[in-house]
Amino acid sequence: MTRVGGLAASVAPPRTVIARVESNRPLVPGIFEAVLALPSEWGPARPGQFVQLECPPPELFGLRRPFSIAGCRAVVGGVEVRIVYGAVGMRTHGLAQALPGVALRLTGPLGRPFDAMPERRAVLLGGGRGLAPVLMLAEHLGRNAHGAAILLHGARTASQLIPIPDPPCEVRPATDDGSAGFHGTLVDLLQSMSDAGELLEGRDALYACGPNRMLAALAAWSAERDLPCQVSLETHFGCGLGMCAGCAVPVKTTAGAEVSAFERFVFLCREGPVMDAQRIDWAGVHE
Amino acid sequence: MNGDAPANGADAGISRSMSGEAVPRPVLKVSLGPVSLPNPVLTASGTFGYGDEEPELTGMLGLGGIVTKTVTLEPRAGNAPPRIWETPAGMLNSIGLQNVGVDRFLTEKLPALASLGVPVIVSVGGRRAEEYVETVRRLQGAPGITAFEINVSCPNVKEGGLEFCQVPSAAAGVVEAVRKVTRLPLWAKLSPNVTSLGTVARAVAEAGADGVTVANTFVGLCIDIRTRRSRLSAGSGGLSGPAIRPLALARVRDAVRAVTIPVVGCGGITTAEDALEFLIVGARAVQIGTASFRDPRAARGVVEGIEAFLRAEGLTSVEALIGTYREEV
Repeated sequence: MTRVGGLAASVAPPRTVIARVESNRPLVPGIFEAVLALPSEWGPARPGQFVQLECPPPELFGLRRPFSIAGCRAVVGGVEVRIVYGAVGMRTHGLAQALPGVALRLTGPLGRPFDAMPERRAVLLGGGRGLAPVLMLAEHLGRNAHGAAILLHGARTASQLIPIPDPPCEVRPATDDGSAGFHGTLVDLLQSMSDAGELLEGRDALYACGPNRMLAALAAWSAERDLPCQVSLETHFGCGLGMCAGCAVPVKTTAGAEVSAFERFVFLCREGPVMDAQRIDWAGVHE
Repeated sequence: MNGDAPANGADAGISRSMSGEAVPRPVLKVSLGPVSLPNPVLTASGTFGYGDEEPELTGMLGLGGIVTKTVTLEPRAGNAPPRIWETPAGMLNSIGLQNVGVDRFLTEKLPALASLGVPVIVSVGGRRAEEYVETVRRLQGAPGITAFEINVSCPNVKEGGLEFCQVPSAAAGVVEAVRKVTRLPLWAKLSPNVTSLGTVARAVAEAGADGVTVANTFVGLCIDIRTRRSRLSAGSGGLSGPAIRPLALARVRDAVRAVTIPVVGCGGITTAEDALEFLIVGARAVQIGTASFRDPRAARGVVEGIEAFLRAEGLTSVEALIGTYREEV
């Protein structure tokens, strides 16, 4: 994880702190952005890392939820962390109701970040709310000027495309129904770029976050090409700290290698959430 | 343990009451037969990994003990995902005893765990009695093990596990076999999924167990109504968390009535108040499980809360509270 100076050179130790909601608003129907105020000793976080966040109501016992970090910056008197999340279950619906000032316990930054490859152009793919961590990566790459990154940004339909008010690089939208941008999935868009000679094996690298189904398709598409592909994966987390063994992801064993049964699954909270797409045994990944 | 003690008079074991007079710090130390613990709060097996988290994050250095993730003779892959599903005030899991196996546990996990200065209770599982015996035989000479917890109650493995507890003589058979190869204290972790937990507790006590942990998870099931499939790949799982706490407490009471060996209470304990209920009913120690997932310092908070309660009640030791349940109505 030490390829790029300043990007993944070091990972800050996780801390448990009280996060205060500064703002919390819908970006598109069903997808929200929360800005959280943390104490100044927290972080810094790297693109691809996540936080475990207590979700309201706190009086009702519940597991914390993992959220990819969409942004992290030092501000006067502390650190500001952004998360982008879908209101899909009871806890995330509860979070969507949280008003400014609400205090929530948070542990992070956790997990392995994206490991940017400076010798390759970055092609970033963000599907739905999966845009958040790759947009953060694009912002870091932009600053560090490792080539001109390009961000492919997908959603089911135009109204679900998360706005990017201040794009750090070229952005190409795609929608499944063709209501905005390219008509098709992000993998379809990649294929069309490849056909047009806009994607170069041996020169480009892929970084993606989105629904597991999209990531599986991307892994299959990139498997036979010289296009390294890192994906930020999602699964159910119990603790996010490697204690519960709940977030198992099946991984491929090297052909012919003698491995212990224990190596069949890795814990996504520790080995991920960003993993090499070709390491994952996608047949065993649930949607 | 530096820095873990409360600052107020901690050095001399003395603190000041509201009126300024010196009052002794309550004694949290408990003994469970041959096992002596600095306080009655342990982590439950499978909820704290191998204790290789950062101590700062988990507060583990102030705990009464760490019960490890269950170790088996051979490495185990565990069950396919999804393995967990949250339920009202609880969670279902079907991890399936994923673990590195006893040999790697000995070389890679135990030394660091033993160096923490916190009592280590190694949880041992297996398909057949012989596997428990061989696992314990390999472990028992290693430095840093305070006791073994014999897991005869895992609901998430096809062979062994829960089925041992459903036949009291089978659970007793495992304990009896393991007893022959180690002098270290043995606790048997029992299943609540039985008609009479007291009967199983008596059977393992007669077979030589030094204590019983009551209890493991309750078998549960959640279904995705859209796909008509279980939320867990393995089908059913084990229910834990506050949802089961009153059920576990009643079973702890049953065990306390049934046996004279120490009972360790476990099931949905999240706060010091929860833990105190178990101690009052007669558990000599408690284990914190699912609560650690939500707050990795939960167990530490329980230790601090117990101490605060003893002070508030004017009790000099936790022993003075254990078993003080007033059963008459």
